[in-house]
Amino acid sequence: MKETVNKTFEYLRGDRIIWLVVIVLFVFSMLAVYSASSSLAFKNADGNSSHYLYKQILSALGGILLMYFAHMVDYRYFSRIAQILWIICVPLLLYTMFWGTSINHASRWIRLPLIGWTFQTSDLAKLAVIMLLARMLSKNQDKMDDFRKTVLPMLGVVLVPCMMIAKDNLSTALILFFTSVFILFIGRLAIKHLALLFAASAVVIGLFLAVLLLTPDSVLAHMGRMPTWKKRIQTHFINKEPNADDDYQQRQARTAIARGGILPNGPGNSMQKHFLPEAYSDFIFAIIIEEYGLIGGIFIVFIYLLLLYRCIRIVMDAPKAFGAFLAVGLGVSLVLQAMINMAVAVGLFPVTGVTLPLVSMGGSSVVFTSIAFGIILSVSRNIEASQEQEEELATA
Amino acid sequence: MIRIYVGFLFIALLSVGILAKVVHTQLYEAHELIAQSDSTSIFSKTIVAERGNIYSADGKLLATSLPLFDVHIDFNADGLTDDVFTPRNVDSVAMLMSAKYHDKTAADYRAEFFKHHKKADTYFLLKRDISLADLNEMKTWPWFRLSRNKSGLIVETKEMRDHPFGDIALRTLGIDENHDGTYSSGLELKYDKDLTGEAVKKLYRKLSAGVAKPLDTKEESANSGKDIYTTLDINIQDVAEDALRKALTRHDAEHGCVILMEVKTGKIRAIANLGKRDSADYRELYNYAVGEATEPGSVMKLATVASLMEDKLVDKNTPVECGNGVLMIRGLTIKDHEAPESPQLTVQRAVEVSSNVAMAELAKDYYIAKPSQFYDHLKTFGFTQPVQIEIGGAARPVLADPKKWSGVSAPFIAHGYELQITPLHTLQFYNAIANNGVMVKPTLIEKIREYNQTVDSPGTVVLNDKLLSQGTVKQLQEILDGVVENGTAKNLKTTYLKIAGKTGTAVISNHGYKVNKKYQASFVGYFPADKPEYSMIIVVNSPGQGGYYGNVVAGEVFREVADKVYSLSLEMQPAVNNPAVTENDIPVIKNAAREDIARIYAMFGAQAPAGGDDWMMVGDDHSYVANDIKIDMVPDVKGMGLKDALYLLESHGLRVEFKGKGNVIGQSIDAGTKISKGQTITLQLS
Repeated sequence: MKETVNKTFEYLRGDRIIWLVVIVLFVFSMLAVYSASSSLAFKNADGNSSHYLYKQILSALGGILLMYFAHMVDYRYFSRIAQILWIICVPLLLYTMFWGTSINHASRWIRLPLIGWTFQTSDLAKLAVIMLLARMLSKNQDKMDDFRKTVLPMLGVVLVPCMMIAKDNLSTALILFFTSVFILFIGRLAIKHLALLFAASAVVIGLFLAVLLLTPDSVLAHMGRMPTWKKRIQTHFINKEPNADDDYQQRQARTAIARGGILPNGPGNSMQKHFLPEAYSDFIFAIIIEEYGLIGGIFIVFIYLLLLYRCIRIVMDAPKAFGAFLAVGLGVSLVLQAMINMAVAVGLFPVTGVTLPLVSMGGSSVVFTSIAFGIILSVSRNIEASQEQEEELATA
Repeated sequence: MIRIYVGFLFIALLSVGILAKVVHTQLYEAHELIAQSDSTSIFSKTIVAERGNIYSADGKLLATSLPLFDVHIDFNADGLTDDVFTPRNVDSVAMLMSAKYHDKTAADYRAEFFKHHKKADTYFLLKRDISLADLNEMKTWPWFRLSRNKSGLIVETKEMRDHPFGDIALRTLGIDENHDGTYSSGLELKYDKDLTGEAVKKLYRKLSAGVAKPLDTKEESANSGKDIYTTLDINIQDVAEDALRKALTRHDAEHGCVILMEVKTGKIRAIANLGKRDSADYRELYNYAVGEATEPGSVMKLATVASLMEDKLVDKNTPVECGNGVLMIRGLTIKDHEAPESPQLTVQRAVEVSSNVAMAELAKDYYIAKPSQFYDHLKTFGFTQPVQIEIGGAARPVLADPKKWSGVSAPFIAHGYELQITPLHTLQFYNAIANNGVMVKPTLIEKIREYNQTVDSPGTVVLNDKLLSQGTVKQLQEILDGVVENGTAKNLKTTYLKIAGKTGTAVISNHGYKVNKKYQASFVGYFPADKPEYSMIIVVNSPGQGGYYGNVVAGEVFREVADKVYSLSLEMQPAVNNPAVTENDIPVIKNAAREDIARIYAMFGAQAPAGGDDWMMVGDDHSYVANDIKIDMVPDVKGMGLKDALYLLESHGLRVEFKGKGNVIGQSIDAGTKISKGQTITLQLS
C-alpha cells in the first residue's frame, strides 16, 4: 500500500502535503456536491442526481490534470507570464464591463470565442495581479522604502484591475484588494505606507458607504448593482429584514449548521439542501457541517490552514525569492477566499458569492484555482530540486 | 519573518471565529432555527378515502366513484424553458388539443399558450373533467410527456359519482347535484359517513418544488368507505321503471312511482320515481314513493274495513245501506262513481265495487261518536308516523287529532280523504295483510360490507307481529281477491298469475279542488294471491289522457310488473314435474376435474364415482379412470371443456390455440409427449 502511494507520488513532484490537501478537498467536493445538487438534479436533469456527480468528477480530473501541467512548468517562467497576463487582463476586464454576459445586473463573464466556454475575467485578473505582485516584490526587496518607484507602481498594478472589477463585483474587488495588501504586508511593505494605505481605504470606503446609504433608492435603481449592495449591507449590518433573499439564505444555512450538531450525520442526510439556494456552491460549507457535523467543519478549516502553512514553509526555505512570494501570495489568496466563503456560510460576513476553492461545484473557477495550486506546486518542486542539488553538491 | 507569522495568525484567528460562530449557532440558536424551519416546511395533508360503492342485492354496481382530472399548466415551471416551449411543440399540442376536444381551433390554443406563457401564468386552465384514459393520452404529447417540472402540468384529481345503470333508482341512491361530494338525498346522504370512510392526516416535509416526502414512513392508508348492498334487484327495478315510464307517457301523467317489496322480509326490490319537469321525458326528479304524502282515496277503504272488523262491528257479509249511491252528510255530498247494483251491499261487495257511500255510512254509524277508536286503529296501521326507511325525507302523514275531528271527518277518512299518507305507508299496510297480519319494516339495506367483510346486515324487523287477527286477515284477503275476480280490477284478472289488490282513484287537491279536477290513480296489492311473495303499489299522479281510473292507469302497470317478476322467479311457479334421478341418468362426463364430477353427482343426489386422482376420464368400458397428469408431459385433454383444457395446458407452460367450439376432440401434440416450455398446442373443438 505504502509503496503504491509512493509510486504515485513519484510522478507528482512538489509538496506531497499540498497534493494531499487537493485530493482531500476534491473528495469532500464529490460527497457534498452529490448530496447538495440533488434538488438541482431534480430541476434540470430529470432527477438524475449522478449527473452533477459525474460533472464534478470530470472537473476534478480536469483540475488535477491542469495542476500537473502547471507544476511541471519551471516557476521562473511565471515571472514573465505574469507581466503578459496582466497586460492581457486589463483590456479583457474593460471588455467584460461593457460587453460581458450579464447575470443579475452583473456583467462578470465573457465567452471565449471558438471554444464557447464562459469564464469570469476577475478570476484571471486575480491570478495576474498576485503573480505580478510577487515579481515586483522579489525585484524590489532592497528598495521597499521608495514610495514613488516601488510602492506606487505596485498599488497601480492592484488598483487598476480592482476598480474595473468593482463595478460589477464589488466583493471580489475588495477581496482582491485586501489579499494584495496582505501580500504586500508579508512582502515587507513599510509600516508607514501600510498605515497610509489603510487610512486612504478607510476614507474611500467611508465615503462610498455614506453615498450608498444616503442616496434614495429611486436614484440608485438606475445605477447598476448599487441597490443590491445597499440591500446586502442593510440586511447584514443595520436592520435585519426577515424576508430578504440573502437573509433567507443565511438563515437556511444557519439552520443547516444547527441541524448538523457535533458528530457526523452521514453523507446525503442533509435536509436543508432542499431549502438552501446555492447549497452546492456558495453555501456548501453549511451542508458539510449538516452532514459531517462540527467535526467535519473543523477538519475542512484545518485542511485550509494546513495548505497555508505549507506555503509559508516554502517562503521559509527561500525568503526573498520570486518563488516564495508567488507561493505565499497564491496560498494566501486561496485560503483567504476559503475563509471568506466559510464566514459567509456561517453568517459572520454578508453574502458575497465567493466559492469554496476546489469544494464548491462550478466549472470555471476550478480552472484558475487549479492553476494557482499548480504554480504553488511548481515552486515547491523547484525548491525541492535545488535542495537536492545542494545536498548533492555538499556531499560531493 | 515575523510578518508571515502575523499573517498566519490573522487567518488562523479568522478560522477560529468561523468555528466559534458554528458552535454558537449550534448551542444557542439551534432550537429556534430548527423549530421555525420545521414549521414552514412541514405540512399536513388529508388523504380522503375512496368512497364506498352501492350495489344491488345481487352485487351489480349501482353507484361508484370515478376519478376525474382538471389539468392546469404552470408556465412559470422551472423546467419549462425555451428548449421545451418551442414553437414546434406548442403547435403540436395546440393541434392535438383541438383535434381531441373540438372546443377551440388549433390557432386559438396556440395563441392562448403564447399569451399565458408571456404572462408567466402559473395556473392556466387547460381542460377540466377529463378521464384517466384522456389524461394518460395527454401525457404522451410533446412537452407534456416531460417530467412534472418541465411540462408544467398540474393535475388535480376529483371524484365523480358514476351510475353504471344510468338513472335507475337514482333518487333512492342519492345524487351529488353540484359535483362537490355532498349529497342531498337518498342512501348516499343517509349512509354518507359509512360510504366516506375515514380520512387520514399525514405529515409531509416539503422538498424541492412540488415534491414532498412523508415524515412517518409507517404505511397508513385511509380507511376506505364501506360498501352498501341494497335490497334492490336490478332486473325487477328495470322492469318496474320501464313499465311505469310507459304508463306515464301513455297517460301523459305528471309523475308516478312504483314500490315492490318482498312480503316476508320487507326488502324493497324495486323503487322507481319518475316525474316530468318542463321537458317531455320522465326522470328521477323526486322520491315520491317516500316523500310525497297525498290523500290516498279508495285504497284506504280496506283500512276502514279492517278497523271495523277488529272492533268486531262488521264482517265481510254484513249488509250496508248505500241507497242510490249519493249520501248527504252535514251539507256535503258523497257520491259513488257509478250507481250501486243494489241499494244494499255486503261489506265485501262494497269494497269490491269501491263504494264511497257504503264506507261513509259505516263510519257514520260506528265512528262519528267514537272518533278516537277509529284513530287508534289508523295509528296502529302506521298512518300517523313517517315510515321508518333508510333514506332521508320520509314524509310525515297528515291526520288530525280525533279531538279536532268534525262531524264529517270519520266518513271522509273512511273513503280516503282528510288524511295524507305516502305510497310507502299504504304498501306497508297491505304488505301486512299479505303477510298474514305481521307488519314488517320496509328496508333498502341488504348488508354493509367493509374490506369484503359483512359488518352489518339489518335483516327483517317485525314492527307488529299481530297487526290484525287471523279472522280479519282471512276476510281482507278474500275481499282483495274479490276486487280482482269480480270487482273494480277485473281487467287485471288472468289464469296464470292470481293477484289480489285494491284500486284507488282519488281526487287530489294539487291544483284546486273543484275548478280543474286532478286525479291520482293507484293500485296496491300482492301476488301470487294464494301464496303472496311480493307486495306492490303503483301511484300515477294527474293522468291527462286515456282515463284516470286506478284499475286502468295504475292497475295495468301492476299487471305488467307482476307478470315479468313472475316469469323471472322460477321458485314462484309450480314445478312441471319432478322425476327421481338415478346414477344412470347422469350424462357421461368425458374428461374433467374430480371435484367437478363429484359436485355434479352431488347435485343429482348420487354417489360420486370412486377414484383418487385430481383429474378423471371415462375409460373404454364407460367407467371412470384416473387421467394421469405428469408435470413434464402433455396431458390428455380430449373430451374436456375449453376452460378445463386451457387451465391444465397453460399451467403446464404450453401456449394454447383452438379452433371451433364445444369439447376438445383433438390435440396437436399427443398426450404423454415431453413438454418444451412455450410450445404451442392447437386444440380442435367439436
